[in-house]
Amino acid sequence: MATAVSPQGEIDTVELWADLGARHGLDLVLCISSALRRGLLDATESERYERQAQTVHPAFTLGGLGQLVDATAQADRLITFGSST
Amino acid sequence: MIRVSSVLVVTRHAPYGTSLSRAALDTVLAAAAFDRPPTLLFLGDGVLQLLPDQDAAAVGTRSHGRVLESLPLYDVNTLFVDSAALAQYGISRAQLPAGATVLEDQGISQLMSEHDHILGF
Repeated sequence: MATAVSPQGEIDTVELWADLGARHGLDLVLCISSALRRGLLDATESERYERQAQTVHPAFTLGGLGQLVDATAQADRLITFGSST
Repeated sequence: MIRVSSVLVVTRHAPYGTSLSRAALDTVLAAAAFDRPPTLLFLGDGVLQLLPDQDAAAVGTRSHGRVLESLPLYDVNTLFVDSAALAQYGISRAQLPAGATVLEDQGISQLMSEHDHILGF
């Protein structure tokens, strides 16, 4: 999240992802419904929902599940990470 | 002919409290809408999603069971279910929705190896 601030001495995961994407020319796509639910909005969405701030780091774009379906179909490898939240 | 890659969606969390189970179902529905209905496996705590007569009104969300019931409309007809988890939670096979297939550990491992991709939730 563009508005998240990591404590000193802790790694900034968002910056690491942004850096990885920039170095290798990767698409960094967030599921739009998951993002909105968590308060992550880009310019378009903050305008649409009349929120005052953009909270998505500019390295990331918001996309629909269709993009996941399409990317999965084209991929030779797919990695997901488990989570309890 | 281009072979369509097969996808197994594994859902292993309880239906309410987190949004993961809902995210898994949304993904299944999206894939089905693109004519790529995936295989669905309920593993561990995920079997709790299959309990009948869910009433989610008090927690202010839509009933997960209701969405599950709509799966056959999207050509998702087979639900694979973790046998050990059913036993752990005391859920009988009679309580499961139509189209549920109960798998032992060996069957689960075979199911996973038969698919090109596994999406875990």
